[in-house]
Amino acid sequence: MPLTIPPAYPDLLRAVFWDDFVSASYNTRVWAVTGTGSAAIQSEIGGRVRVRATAANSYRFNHGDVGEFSVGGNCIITWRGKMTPATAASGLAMCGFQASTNPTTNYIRWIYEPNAHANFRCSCVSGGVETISDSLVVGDNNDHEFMIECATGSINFYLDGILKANITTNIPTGQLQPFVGCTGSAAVVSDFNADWVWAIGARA
Amino acid sequence: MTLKLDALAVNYPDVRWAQFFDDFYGNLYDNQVWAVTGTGSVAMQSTNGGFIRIRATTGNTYEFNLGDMGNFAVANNFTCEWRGSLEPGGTGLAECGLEGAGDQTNNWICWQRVAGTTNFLCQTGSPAGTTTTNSGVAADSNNHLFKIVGSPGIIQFFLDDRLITTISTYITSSKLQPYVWNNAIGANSNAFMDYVRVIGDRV
Repeated sequence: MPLTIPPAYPDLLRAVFWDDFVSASYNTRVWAVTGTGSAAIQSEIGGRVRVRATAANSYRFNHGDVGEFSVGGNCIITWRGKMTPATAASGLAMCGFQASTNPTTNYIRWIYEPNAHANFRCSCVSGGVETISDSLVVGDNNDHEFMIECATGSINFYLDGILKANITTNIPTGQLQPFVGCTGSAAVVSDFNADWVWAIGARA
Repeated sequence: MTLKLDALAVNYPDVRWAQFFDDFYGNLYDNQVWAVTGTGSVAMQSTNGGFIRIRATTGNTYEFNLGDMGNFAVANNFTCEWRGSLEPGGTGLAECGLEGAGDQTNNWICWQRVAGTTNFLCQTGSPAGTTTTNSGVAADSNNHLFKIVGSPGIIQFFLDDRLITTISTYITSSKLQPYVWNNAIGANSNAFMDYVRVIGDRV
């Protein structure tokens, strides 16, 4: 079917971040990477970025160290993509928001860690202390919309538009930024193939 | 929890579609995204609204494209808009549209202006051949919205939002990317572009 050009402007009442990962390069002025692995734009219809942790390593792809969103300000993030973590021990893929300060111990995520649990799971980590919840959805390597809706004291997790979990403890404070993370197993890489990311929050 | 409802109501961006947009603002074009081939130049213009000038110098060709990524395809439906002016010199030509990623020589869908030819042309190209249709609209150097809508078996060409013609032969099956191509024969050939926008289905 012929397509119609969508509306030209976002809702200016909200802060909006959007990346479709269409074109020849991801925006290196916006996205930062840490760890051992790679982030590579994929030559395919619709465009993607493949975030890959090499074997036995961890790798993160995140939105600089800016932090334009916060739980207290209400915010939503959706990552569309497919998680393909290594199935052996330590293999995982995750996506969501991480804190712009101390991001490795403060984050809100969807996680698929097949060696530890068969299902997609949801978690909040504050100061390194985690609350984790089972989505009851069997993990797979297909495209999904991993959405997280944040409000003070309550984090909702949606998979493909359906509410799967709610967490009210160990919610990180401070400013948040979109992120994807992977950890490879001893011999196998782990990937998150992101089609797009969309984050929206209240303005200050 | 009203934020979610508000956000969905806004419907921005419409995530059902893959989207690429460049307004060509600023003093540099994004060379992380755009690639150039041939002999000529790309120069941002100090013009209200921002433009980019893509120029092939006399005796040469020059191409400006999206780096052989091919994020769109006829099979996945698309709408491509280039707004700007096509200004070939001498007996050269200037064109804009979508081309095959990595196989652009034999695969394209474009609006075209050939110096010395009265009207704008609409064209499809595939390895099997080329179809060229006279738009019937007098070519000029004014700004126009050159729009192409593609879906399996049919390509629609719009000029300034008016459907001009359709082509249903020699439609490429390649993965596609936006491009401008100039061939300068006897004088420089230019295209001045205000913006480009492409949307298409996801996989």
